[in-house]
Amino acid sequence: MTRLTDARERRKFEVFVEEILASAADDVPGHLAQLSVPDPFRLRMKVLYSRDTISAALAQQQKLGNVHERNPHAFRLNVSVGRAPSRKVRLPFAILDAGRPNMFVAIAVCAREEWQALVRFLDARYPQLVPVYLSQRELIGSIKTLRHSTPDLDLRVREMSATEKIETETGKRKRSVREWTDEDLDNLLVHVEDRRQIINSLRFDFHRRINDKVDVIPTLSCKVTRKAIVEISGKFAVAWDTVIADVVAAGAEKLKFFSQRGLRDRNYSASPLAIHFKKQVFDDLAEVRRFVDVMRKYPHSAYAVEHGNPYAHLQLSDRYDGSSFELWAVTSDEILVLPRLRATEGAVERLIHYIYDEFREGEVTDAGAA
Amino acid sequence: MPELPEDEQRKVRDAAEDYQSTVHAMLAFSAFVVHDATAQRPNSHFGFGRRMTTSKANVVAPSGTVTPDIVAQKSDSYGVVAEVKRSLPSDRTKWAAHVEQIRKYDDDLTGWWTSDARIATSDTTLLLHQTRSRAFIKVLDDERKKNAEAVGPYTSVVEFNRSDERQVNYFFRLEWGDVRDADLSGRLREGVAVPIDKVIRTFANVKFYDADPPLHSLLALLWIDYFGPLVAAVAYDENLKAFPIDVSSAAIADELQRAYGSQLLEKDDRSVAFPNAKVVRKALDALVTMKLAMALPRGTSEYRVLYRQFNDDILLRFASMLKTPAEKVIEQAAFPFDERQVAVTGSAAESPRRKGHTPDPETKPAAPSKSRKKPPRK
Repeated sequence: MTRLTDARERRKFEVFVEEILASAADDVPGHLAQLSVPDPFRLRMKVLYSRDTISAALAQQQKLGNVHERNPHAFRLNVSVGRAPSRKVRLPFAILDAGRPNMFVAIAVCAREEWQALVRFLDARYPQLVPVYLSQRELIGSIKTLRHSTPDLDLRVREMSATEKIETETGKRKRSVREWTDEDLDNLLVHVEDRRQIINSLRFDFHRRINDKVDVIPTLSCKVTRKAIVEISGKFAVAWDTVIADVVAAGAEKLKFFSQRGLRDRNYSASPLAIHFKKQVFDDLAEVRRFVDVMRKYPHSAYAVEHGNPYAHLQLSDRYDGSSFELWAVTSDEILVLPRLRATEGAVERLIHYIYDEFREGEVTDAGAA
Repeated sequence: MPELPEDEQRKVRDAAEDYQSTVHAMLAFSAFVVHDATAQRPNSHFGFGRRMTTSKANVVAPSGTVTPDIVAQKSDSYGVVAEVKRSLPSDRTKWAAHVEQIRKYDDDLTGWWTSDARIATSDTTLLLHQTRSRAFIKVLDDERKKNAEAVGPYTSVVEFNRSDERQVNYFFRLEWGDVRDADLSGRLREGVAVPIDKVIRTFANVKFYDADPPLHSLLALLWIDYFGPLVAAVAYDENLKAFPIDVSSAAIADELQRAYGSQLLEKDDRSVAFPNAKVVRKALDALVTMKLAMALPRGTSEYRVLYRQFNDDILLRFASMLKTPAEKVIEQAAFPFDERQVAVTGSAAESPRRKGHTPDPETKPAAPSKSRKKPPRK
């Protein structure tokens, strides 16, 4: 891969990328498929959900002058990146319709720092733009789906970043691990399960396969994270049609499942959810207390703890959009989530993701009458 | 806001919990009567606080109206009327009033869900928390010795508790008297455990019955659940340092009844509405005292709630503020809201930080800190 070191060359490349992103929305994937991306640039995408059009979701930022709209799907973000000293950049990006209701994909071709600034900007647009998160189960599920849907490609996991719990003298701690492998996905998953790791991202290569012969050079290298960010090197068209399509499908299915949960949307009939854990988590009273402590710290919320021992019962709100929930931990392996008067799908997604990230990952199901 | 001492905090939470537990126990007992193991029985119904008419022969209140906590009809020929007492006054001389109350219910009451509103067989049950059941039974026996008519012939005592074992259950057991339904009697004698999670799943949003909830619980619910979503529609008022939300007690009571109260249960001309507008007005008046609302002189809205974002436990905050003398409220309510409050929504430009969503300092104001400053000393 070539590397652009000359500042003028880099600028020229950025201008060219901006033209691609600002072309007609239907043409953008085709243009990106033709683009060779030099270092330190990368083509990255992030899956988003919005009930509004993207123009409407970013309207306030346009008024503030932080974002300039070139086309209804193409924008330029004025943002500072880096620290001491920071520099101001104008970062072009596009947000394309992902082909599923309310699902979108933000795309940029830029260096890491710029991308991180763009992700921060997009995340901060909640609740107008809802960041989609993938649980470990969903992340693995998407990749398994991907493997089945691409029989002419051989998928090899190259890198995994994960979190694992370790015992220290001062108690349990989380440790980040990053591993480079050349493993088949199934072998890797056994390894992850054995070490009770939580996967944060997976990088894998796609090698073309003809009959039983596999190319040694990957046609696409792709990294997928729990934040539904996809970073690619290689064939954009393959990534767009396979990886992105699968992540979008997983996100769309989940957000649809979380929608219409608020009592006002349902003529006051309840639609509770349950987060089910494989282990009898709440047999340990310390875990009940830890759950309550974790939820007390739910950012940007109002909360009231009604019971914390031996079971947990609390209510909390999402101040961003006024959604509210009641949480019960009354059995040893489950948290019941009761959406209240208002509960948007975005707020449910944010709450569940927070519980997964800060407490423990489980599986969400409907919790209607048992 | 002064922080409540730990034992006060426990009492505050216990009061909220007691109310919720009572609702759950009522639901669990009602479900025990009206459901078999798989589905609701034919012609079965239940209601909380249902208006029932006593007979002319009623020894306490002939041809009057009574509102038992639970009226549960198992079939069109058998039903149970129950009163629930999670706690009793420590002064046992006051317990005789409860004996008289259940005596009124042990009668040929009218108001059942049958063609003539009467039922062939009904029993009266006092659902008592386990901690008080034995002592109350002694009082019941004493009253009966004094006067054979003091306790009705078809009255029983069922004790209940919440077992906080690995699986949290409501447990019911017949401790005194009997019920005339062989199936219910047999099971109650052995003891019936109803898992709390089944109650929550089945009646996920029933949060009230026909007794008023503790004020701090109601205020916490209103603040988190009712006013929170309304903030999006109003602009922050710099002078009031709050989001002004105009509300009416009738509209709030109506929505609470639909979402969490009486309208979730069967409704007819004998059912009662809960929570009622009176208790909602009481809560709003308390907010006025706390300087978190103002009464409006006219119009459809009676109150303007001055919504502010609290970063501590809302239940404890309201319990503490309810204890605060009115003349001290001004200085306490002003803290920690002398800084600008951040808009709840409307514009994401104003939405502050959350985990994994680092705020962009160029595009939005800073979020209010979760850490609380000490109030200035006066």
